[in-house]
Amino acid sequence: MIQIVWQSEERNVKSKLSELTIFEFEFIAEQFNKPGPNLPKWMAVAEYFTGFPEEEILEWPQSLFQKLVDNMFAAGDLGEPLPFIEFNGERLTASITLTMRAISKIEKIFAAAEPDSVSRSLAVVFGSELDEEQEALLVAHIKTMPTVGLIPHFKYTVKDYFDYLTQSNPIKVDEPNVETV
Amino acid sequence: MNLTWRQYNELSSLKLEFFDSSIDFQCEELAIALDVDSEDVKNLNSTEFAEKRTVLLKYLQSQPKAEESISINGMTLYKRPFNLLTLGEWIDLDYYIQHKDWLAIIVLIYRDKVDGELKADEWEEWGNYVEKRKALLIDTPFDHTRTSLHEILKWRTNFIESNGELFNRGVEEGDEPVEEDISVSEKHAQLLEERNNKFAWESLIMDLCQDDITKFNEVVSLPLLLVFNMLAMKKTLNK
Repeated sequence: MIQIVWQSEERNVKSKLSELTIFEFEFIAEQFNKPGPNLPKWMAVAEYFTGFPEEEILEWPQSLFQKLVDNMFAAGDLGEPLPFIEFNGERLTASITLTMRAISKIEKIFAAAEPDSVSRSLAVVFGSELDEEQEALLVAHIKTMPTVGLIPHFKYTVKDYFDYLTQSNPIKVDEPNVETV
Repeated sequence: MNLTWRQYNELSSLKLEFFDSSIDFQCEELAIALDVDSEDVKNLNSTEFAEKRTVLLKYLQSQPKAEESISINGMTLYKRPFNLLTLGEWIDLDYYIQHKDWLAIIVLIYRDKVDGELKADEWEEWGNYVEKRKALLIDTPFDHTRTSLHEILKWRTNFIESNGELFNRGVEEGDEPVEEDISVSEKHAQLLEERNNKFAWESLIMDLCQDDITKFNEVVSLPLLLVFNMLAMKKTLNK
């Protein structure tokens, strides 16, 4: 946490990645995935995390805004990937190795570039057996969970997917390359 | 792993743009190769999938020895020496390549042997002989004949290279675009070339027939090597 003091109001602001929820993580990612200059993105992040309205943030001295920018998203210990999560009183175990069905689903989630790609992908990791309705509830639940233990799945479990995509050679069907006369 | 021609044809007709994701595309490829439902492939984990896909990749990259003969439905077909091709078969070969009809090329290569001699198959009075023979070959192992396909294509490339002058089809002298009206001239040259390309073989055959259409079949049945030797000689003498 960092402390932001503005007009006698003190706000403790989350700064490390490990302090964020998945929703907050996705909120930040959504801002910075947008095209265009960074200042409006930082304004949106500052507004959301400090609770001060934009008009007031615009009045801040540059040093205060810089303090926020310099300290936010500091790396924290995100721990090891959680082997399971609790959902609706049940224990949902993470798939250690994803099936191709799950990988295909994650690929489509990322290709769609929706703001909730992270929570939806994590729902695939933990809820591969769930129906659509339950999966949507799981996504909502995951958004409220801390990043600790969840984001590491992108380094381990979901990494299978990234490794697979980057390492696999396209099948070159042995089509003879000939010119016609 | 051993594909049939049917599986090979299916594999080569797959296009990434038909699928929602590249993974779905890869799953379909493997499903065709393994002859299973793509849903079964999606149940594989990524490690199993990668292993099976590697086997497929290696299989497709391998070059098995071409079979000198193949058997289908009790009939034995023999691989013909490529230099026995007739002019008509050479033209067919060109057509099959344009249409990526690889199996038709196999039909062209493997033929009946009658009285110890390889015979070109007779065209049937009704129906398309090539399509019927393709229907017989489609479920045969791809491995038995695919190397022959590569061999004939390589042979063809060498043949074209060694007869380079006869295959050069530039824009005729006098057709060069005029600088001040390059777009119209280019278009004209392009249309001319397209038209010439479209009827190039017919035009050559009619030259050889001396415009007597009744000799058409005789000309297309001539050995390719003979025709090209004659054309080369004529070209040299006309220089």
